[in-house]
Amino acid sequence: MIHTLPLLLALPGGPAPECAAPPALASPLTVAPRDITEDVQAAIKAFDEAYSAWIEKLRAASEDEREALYAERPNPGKTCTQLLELADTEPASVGAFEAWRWVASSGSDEQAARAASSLAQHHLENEALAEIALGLMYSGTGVAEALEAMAKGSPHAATQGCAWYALAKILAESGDAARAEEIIKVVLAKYGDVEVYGGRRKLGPLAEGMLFEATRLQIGMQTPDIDGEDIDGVGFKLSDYRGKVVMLDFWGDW
Amino acid sequence: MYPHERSLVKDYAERPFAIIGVNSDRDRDKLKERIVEESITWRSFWNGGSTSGPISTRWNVSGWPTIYVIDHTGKIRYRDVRGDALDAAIAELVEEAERALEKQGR
Repeated sequence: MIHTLPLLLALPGGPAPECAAPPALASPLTVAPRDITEDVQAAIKAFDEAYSAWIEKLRAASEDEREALYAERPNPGKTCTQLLELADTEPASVGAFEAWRWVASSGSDEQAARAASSLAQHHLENEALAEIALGLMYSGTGVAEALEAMAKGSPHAATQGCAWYALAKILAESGDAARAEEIIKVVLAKYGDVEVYGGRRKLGPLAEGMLFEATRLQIGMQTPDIDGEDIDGVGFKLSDYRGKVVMLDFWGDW
Repeated sequence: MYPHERSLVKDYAERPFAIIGVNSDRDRDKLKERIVEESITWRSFWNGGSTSGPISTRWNVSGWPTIYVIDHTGKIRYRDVRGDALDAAIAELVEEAERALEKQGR
């Protein structure tokens, strides 16, 4: 498309500029938003294929070969750079949304921050922003501003709640416990019923857990007791082991 | 993980140390079989058959395994330590516990 325009203008016998009622920019050839969706999907597909191929190689490799293969693990960074560039050409498009969604979950903290800020700027109305906001809690303090913009600017309660929750998590981990607590209380008061993770969890219990962790589970604190039953159904307490060093291990056989 | 845990249990037998699990498996009977197969001798709380059970939800656990190392007085001293760092943490705290016990004995 980019190359078509100069060619057309160069055609002999084309309309003289003064006769062209619509300005050149209004020509369908130039205003039709470039559909970047296919390019975005192709970039993501290329990465997925490279990744699957690498996994296959890893499976087939011997114990000794694996060490070297780990260094060849496909790096999503390049794909993210490509996606960020593409998205910037048509920021309001569905393609851009998909590109930023991918970068938000797979990019470096810095790339995720760029994606988050663009999403907050161009896609506040999109309901799928809620889950993206939630996932951003693992992306470091660089996304804090974008999360706040989503929380304040989205018309959807789910996005507001998820963005506040993710922001609280980031603040708690960066040491701003006071502000984190303040935000968690807002989540508990206003967004407790928001369903997340495909309806499997609600923000209320998650926020309670976060508050409990921030206020009761920090290093140097007295361990809250656990009163439960063992695998055979026999009741016991964590405090039964006081006097011993305890390695408390949340585990599963999977 | 199991070999590491088994060796900790063995190394610290007769010393003030215990592993306590919070298990989030779904199938209790199958877990009991696995406990025998893997010689898992340490005790675990049952988390209600789910990773979103009451104990892990209250403790805000979102990754497995999550590990807390608690000293003999009941204080949280380390979180999410692994491998050598976990061994070092346990060694330090067990010695601390033993010194405290000795003092009490005197």
